[in-house]
Amino acid sequence: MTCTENEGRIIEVLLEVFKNKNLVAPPLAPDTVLERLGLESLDFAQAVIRMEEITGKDPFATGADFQIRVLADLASLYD
Amino acid sequence: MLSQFILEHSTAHDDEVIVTPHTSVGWHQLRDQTLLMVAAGESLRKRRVGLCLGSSSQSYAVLAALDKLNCDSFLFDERLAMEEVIRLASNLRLGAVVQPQKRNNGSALEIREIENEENGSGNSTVTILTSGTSGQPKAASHSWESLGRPIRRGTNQSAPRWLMTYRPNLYAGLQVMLQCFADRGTLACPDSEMEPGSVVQFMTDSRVQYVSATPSFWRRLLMFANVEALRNIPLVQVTLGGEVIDQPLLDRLKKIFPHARLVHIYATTELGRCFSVSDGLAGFPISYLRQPLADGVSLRVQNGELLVQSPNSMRNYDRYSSGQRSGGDWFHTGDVVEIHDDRAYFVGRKSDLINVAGSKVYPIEVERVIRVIPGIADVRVFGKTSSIAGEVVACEIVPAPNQDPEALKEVVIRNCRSELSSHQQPRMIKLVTQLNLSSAGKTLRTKAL
Repeated sequence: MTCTENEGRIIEVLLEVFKNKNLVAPPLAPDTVLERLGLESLDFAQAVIRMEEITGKDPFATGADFQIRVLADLASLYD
Repeated sequence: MLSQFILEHSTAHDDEVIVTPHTSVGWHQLRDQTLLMVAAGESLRKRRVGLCLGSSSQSYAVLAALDKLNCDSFLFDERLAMEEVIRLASNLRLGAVVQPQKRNNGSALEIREIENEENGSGNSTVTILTSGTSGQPKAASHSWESLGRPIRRGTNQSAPRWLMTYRPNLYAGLQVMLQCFADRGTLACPDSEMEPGSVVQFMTDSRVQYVSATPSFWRRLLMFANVEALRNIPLVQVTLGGEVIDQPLLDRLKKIFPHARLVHIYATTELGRCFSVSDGLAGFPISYLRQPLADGVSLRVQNGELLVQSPNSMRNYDRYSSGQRSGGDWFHTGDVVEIHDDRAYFVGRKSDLINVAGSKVYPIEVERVIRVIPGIADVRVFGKTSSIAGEVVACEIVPAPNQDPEALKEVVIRNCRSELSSHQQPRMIKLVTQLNLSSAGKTLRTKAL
């Protein structure tokens, strides 16, 4: 499965989060269900900060209510 | 008081009083400069006057002259842009802003009149402008008596040589200057932007014996300067203040200066000097909380916060200050302490508290873990706004020379993971070449947005 640029970025950022936690990351793909990754909300906070550093955007800062299930949903917020 | 130190003390020999990397000024010259400033400043008598204060003999001569002229002196950092000084002075309803004449013509004093001035108190006072986080400083008014009260006369050897590491316009800088002048000593003033190596060279050349500085100052010196050269400076006393003091730093200083008296001081702009600790241990004995201390200071802890009553306090905030005092007799310091066994330890400022998804984290709890990692020169922990968690812990680390930064970052992550809970762990780690210090020489605690 090919990735969009932002999906690729999210995967890299999540791999870093797993590495920091000293955990082996499961295979990550656009259709990976995020809540099954076993990450806590602070890990996602970290990923969002990292994405902001990379893209200059923080889609969550608007306070909008997002429906995010899979990795591609999260990545699309940065498109 | 300052004018008395300078004008009324007669001495046969003309020892040096102020040395900088470029100049040396004797007591006679400082007295002459002060007399010149008094004459030049006659129009300022009993008025509210702003002074851009540097650590030069001319600057101190102006301050002494304003004392002699019974002015209410408001002290500004000389590095502040003049437009900013005028703006602040105008808000404070001052009558004029002065500084030593930089050009070589006319009067010794450069005076800028400001409209709309409030009447002076008629007494000689000193107002210190605190580095307010909101941009508008608080203006803490002291009498010269309250500033001079903590000065110990005659306990030091005669003519001690002090290193000036603080900004001269802030409380700590005034204390060092007054203590030094009261003992007829010499104030060695390095340039404010000096590299650590040059500072040590200057300390050696000017033969300093007393150093009063923030922990941040020392950490920078210990990491980047030649420790052997430091060891060769025969210091009599090492005084720390202005920030939380940790045990590893005290131990390190004790090792480098085994013969020096090692003291740490708790003081604030508003309360003045509160107490000192000289047993070489971080924190302070809880016996300090039980009864008033020798010079009349009382301490108490309420909801973890240190409250103080101090006879060394300011008189009040100036009536045009941005902050005004609230509450009763006890002053709320904003410093949080924890008590373990028979000792009280500072854990940080209430305002530094990082709220990570509802869990409270003090930067110092995290800094303590990172600071002991070999290869770390310095660290600053702060709150970073997070759209998910409110705030998360972030940090900046300064690698020691010849360290692989990426490898060091991994060690930091690993140690934090094993020693801190999830909400305490830094979620953003930046490698920097040096930390930014505030004008008071303290590590900046500003939160990142």
